[in-house]
Amino acid sequence: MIRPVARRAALAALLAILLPLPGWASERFIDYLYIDANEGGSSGGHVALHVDNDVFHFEYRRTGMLVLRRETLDEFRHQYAGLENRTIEVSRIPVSEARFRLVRERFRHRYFVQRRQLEVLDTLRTERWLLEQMLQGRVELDGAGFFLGEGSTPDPALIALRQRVLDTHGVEFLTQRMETLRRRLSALDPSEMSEHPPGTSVDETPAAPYGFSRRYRDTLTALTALEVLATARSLRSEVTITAAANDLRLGADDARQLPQLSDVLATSLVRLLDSPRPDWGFPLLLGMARLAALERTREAQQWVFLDVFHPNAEVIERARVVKRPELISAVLGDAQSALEVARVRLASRLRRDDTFGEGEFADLEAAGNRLAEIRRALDEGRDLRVPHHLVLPARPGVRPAVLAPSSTALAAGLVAARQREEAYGHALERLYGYNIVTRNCVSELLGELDVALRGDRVAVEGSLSFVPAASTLTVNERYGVSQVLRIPSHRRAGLARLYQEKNPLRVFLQESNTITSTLYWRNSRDSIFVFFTDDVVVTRPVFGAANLAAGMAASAVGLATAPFDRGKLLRAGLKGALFSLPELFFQNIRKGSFEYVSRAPDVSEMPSSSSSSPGSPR
Amino acid sequence: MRLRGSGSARVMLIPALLVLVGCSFSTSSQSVSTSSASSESSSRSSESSSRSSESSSRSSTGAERQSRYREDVRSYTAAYVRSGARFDAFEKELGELAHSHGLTNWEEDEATYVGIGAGLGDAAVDTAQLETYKAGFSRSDPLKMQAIQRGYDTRQ
Repeated sequence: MIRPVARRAALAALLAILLPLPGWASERFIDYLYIDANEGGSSGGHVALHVDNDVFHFEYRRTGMLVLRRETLDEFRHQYAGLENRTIEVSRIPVSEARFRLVRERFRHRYFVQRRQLEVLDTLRTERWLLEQMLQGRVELDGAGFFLGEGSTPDPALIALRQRVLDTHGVEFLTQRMETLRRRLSALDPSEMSEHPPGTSVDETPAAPYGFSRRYRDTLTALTALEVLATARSLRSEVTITAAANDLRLGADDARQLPQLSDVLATSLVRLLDSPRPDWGFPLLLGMARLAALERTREAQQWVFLDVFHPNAEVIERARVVKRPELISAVLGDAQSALEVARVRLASRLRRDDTFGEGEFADLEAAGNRLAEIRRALDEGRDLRVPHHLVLPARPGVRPAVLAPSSTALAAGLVAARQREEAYGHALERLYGYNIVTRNCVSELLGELDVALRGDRVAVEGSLSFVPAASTLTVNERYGVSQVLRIPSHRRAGLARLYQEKNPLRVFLQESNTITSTLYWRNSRDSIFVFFTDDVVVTRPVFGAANLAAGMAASAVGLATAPFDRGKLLRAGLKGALFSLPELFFQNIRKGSFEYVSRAPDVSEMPSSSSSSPGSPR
Repeated sequence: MRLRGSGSARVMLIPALLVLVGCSFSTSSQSVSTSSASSESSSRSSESSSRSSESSSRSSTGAERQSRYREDVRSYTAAYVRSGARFDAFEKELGELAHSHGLTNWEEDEATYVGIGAGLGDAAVDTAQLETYKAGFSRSDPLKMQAIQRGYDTRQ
């Protein structure tokens, strides 16, 4: 028989799990985020969940799938409130510690499972793609494009590295190792493909198969790396970036640490050659390229880095660069700060444990790239590549598919690979297929939240809760929101500052349109429009009419320029006209976006109408 | 909610409603972010790689990235132990996971081994299994074994 005290304790524990706590009693919160609409991919708005350090949100991918993303709050805010210029409304839900963990683990698990499944699909696609290449007698290898071909002047850094390798592993090491790799290539058989991809469910965490073509590519990459090392090939100049800027000049500390940095990198590469991991080839190629860049740094007495911009990086044309000094100043300032921080972290790592900190070095590389790019744009009048999402430098190069199986075997392997990819892709589409009403970014988020907080999904037929803008009402009804906050969009945050500092009428007149605005500058992603309408209501139809006229005029001009600009102006004009229509009826979708937003803290949280109301009027 | 007004007004509102419903398209399909600049990623759809754009953004701070990497290694290790997959396939997976976090020489990074240890903890391996895994993953390197133990202890 349960004692009364124990029974009451059990009941209290159960209630703590089942019922949301009032804000004053809860130590934990989860935040339901509603992201305001804008033209582009989510003109209906978007939703997300912030729990612990993660923001989870579902996105639609063109393959027809709904994919769960996970980001830090900072990344999310920078993307949506910053670059996409959307205000974020935060509905704060107090929960118990137990419920907090439940929500966090549920979303993390779902994210992990789906990510693994998508990786399996990626892997199957890669396997198929490699087989297609091999049938054409060639394979594209990451890292193979860093170096010049045979016969080039030997690189001093690689000569030194080669000597260290031979001193450590023996004079025949490279020759023997290359021979081993060639034998391995010959022995690979496309018919001994991976096991059949696993089935799909929302709880299964499959492992990506390591099949023939990826094994072949990794082995060929390793062989290529050893060939580069054996002949100490020279680094291509076009794979590096530098600029004649004081910021990139080697200071006294840099000059003192540079030999140590090169030494620890070389040491790590010598150890890498001892690794049994199957894919050591690309790390060796990249490491050698970095070593060669450090040697060039020493010779020039200024930092020379591998270029880490994506081949298709967004570009600001040179003519626009000079017209936006405040943008360039922001980009330059951020890059200088980032470079300084990266320098200090790398130096600290060297002092701490005398090892090559690849993460710290990659940060220095990225920061150096950003600074060099801006300086080249300013000093040499170049286009400016926008420094978003800098990547690990890969520089692919094409190699003949040596020692490959016969065309017949490859063709048979390709048929099987296509079938596997298609079957698995269809299975994932069935599991995660998007539906505008029953399975969209809102319904899935609320569904997961329902299960975590209430134990089961709540039926949504007939309700409008699948609409992002309406979902905040549902969240308040179901979970008891204790507070509503607002993270203003980049432009709205800037406007707020200007209104505090300057004459309001002047600010309104100057910032109301894209021509005189000091906060906004036109970019190629936005449609054609003249007036901003997200921060006005009374004049919205008038501004909307002007925007509509501008859009239609641009479309008319765009018809004429279409053969020359591939319809770019026509599309921008038509889109501009389309998103002007809601404005005629006092509705706003479009807000403009930004190519670059400083990552310095720029957003402020403004408590709106508090308690349990679903947020202040928009 | 009843829609008042003429039939033509209702017809106009339906497309408007559909526009209002839409969710965000994958930003990885709009941006060109991938974890490496290889043309493999760009010749395929830029949104196809789930590894590429998810966690390698250089916009994160170093501490954030390392924490994420460690957490991912933990999840992958736990899944590997539970699945009984081949070791070389797991090492290949670790390589690609590290790549997505901007690391190539993951064997030199302590966070790898701390993450492995935490993953072993999540998988609830016993002491004897732990020692076996420690020796295997670290190739009996004492510092790496210590890192694995530290990671394992965080999950106890």
